[in-house]
Formats: sequence, structure tokens, C-alpha cells
Amino acid sequence: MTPDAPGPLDEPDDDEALHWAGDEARAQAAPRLRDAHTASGAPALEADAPEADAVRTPAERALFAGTVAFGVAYLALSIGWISSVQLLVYPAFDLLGEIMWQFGEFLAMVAPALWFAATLTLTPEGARHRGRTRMIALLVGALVLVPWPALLYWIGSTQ
Amino acid sequence: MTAAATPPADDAVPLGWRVGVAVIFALLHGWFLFTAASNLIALPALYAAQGYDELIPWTTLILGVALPPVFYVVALLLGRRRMLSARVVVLAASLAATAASALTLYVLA
Repeated sequence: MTPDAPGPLDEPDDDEALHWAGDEARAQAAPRLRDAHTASGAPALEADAPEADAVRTPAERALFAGTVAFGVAYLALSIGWISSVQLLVYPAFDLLGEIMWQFGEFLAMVAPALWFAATLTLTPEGARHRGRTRMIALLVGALVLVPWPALLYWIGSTQ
Repeated sequence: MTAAATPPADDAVPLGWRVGVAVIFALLHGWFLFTAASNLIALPALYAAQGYDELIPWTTLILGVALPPVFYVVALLLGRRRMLSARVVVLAASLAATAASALTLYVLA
């Protein structure tokens, strides 16, 4: 070994990699390992997940099934609006109107997805009357977002 | 929704952001209100000039004017005391529903 070569004492301490700035202030100066989370007070997410599934009540399972069923219906509504947009043409010639018409068509195509996302956002876990509120909101959305342009076209083409 | 499950996030969102989001979506909803109001003003006169007074689609014309503010106000009320992201999602859904209903009324008129 040459005198210039770094010796064992010059190498960085491996434990340093397990520390974060501010650990001392939060009384977490000790190295934290994956299996030591209970000692540091962190929740054991992996261990809790199966228990959360096990305690799911029939009402929660029904809500999940209803949400999935409405999800499929909303997917069909999105397809219907994509078809509707193909059938519509802007009825004037002004540039701003044309731009906003295209924007409106884009919004109509994403409307079912946005309504679905908004309903799930407004009915989080712990919300009062969660299941009933979510199902009513999804039902109202399905009625509001019926793709009439495509529906009327299909009805007309079958007659 | 219980207060314990979801603490009010109204104070966490700066007032400027709240007002900014509300104004942007008000303008976008306002465009659909403007086009519907234009139709309500112009179409009856056009129908009357052609001699088709009895065919004026009053229901769709009035619904076109009424729906954008209704959707907007409902979305604003639902978004109260929620995080900014939730407000944006609800207002975007309201705007998209407004656009879809405008296209529906255009076809039905």
C-alpha cells in the first residue's frame, strides 16, 4: 500500500447513508432499516394490508361492485361520446367559435371520466352515507351524459 | 362526511388560488352560457322571419342558458372545504358536463 492510498479509516462510514438531515432533531438518530419500522413508530403498511381486506364488510364489497359496474357503463358513455363527436360539425365559420367547439367536443369525450373521478373524489372513505351518495351521483351522471348525438344516429340508422 | 375523517382543507388553500380557479372555470362556463344566450336571442327571430314560430325549440334554448350556471354553482358548493385538487376535479367535471349537455341540446334543438 502506498502512503497516498486511502486506508480503511478514510472510507465513508456506511451507517452515514442511513441517516437523514434533521434526524437528531426528531430523535431518529439511529439507523433505520426496513424491518425496524415498528421501533421507529412507522406504520407497518405491508402487514396491515391483508387485514384491511379481511375486515371488508358486505356493504363495502357491494359498493366496490357497484362502482366497478358504473365504471364499465361510464366507459361505454365515453365511447358513445367519441362516436358522437365524429358525427358533429361546427355550424359556423368564426375562428374562436371553431376553437371552442373543438374544446367542447374534447370535454364531452372526457366528461364521463371526469364525472366518475369527481364522484370518487367527493365520496372518500369515511364520508357520511358514502355508498348511497356515490351511487346516486353516478346514476345522475349516467343520465346527464347520455351520448344523444350518437344514440339518435344509431336509432335512425336502424329504422 | 365526518369532520374527523376529513378535516376542513379550506384554510390550507390560499385565497388567491381559490379565487383564481373559480374565475378560470367561471370564464369557461361563461363561454357556453354566452353561446346559449346568443342562440336564445337570435334563433326565435330567425324562426319567426321564416314563418316557423310554432317550431321554436324553447325548451332546449332555455335549458342551454340555465344549465351552465347551475352546473357551476353546484360544483362550487360541492368543492367547498376541500383541497384545491378536489375543487379542480369537480369544476372540470362540471365544465365537461356543460359541454356535453350543450352538444346534446344542439342536436335535440
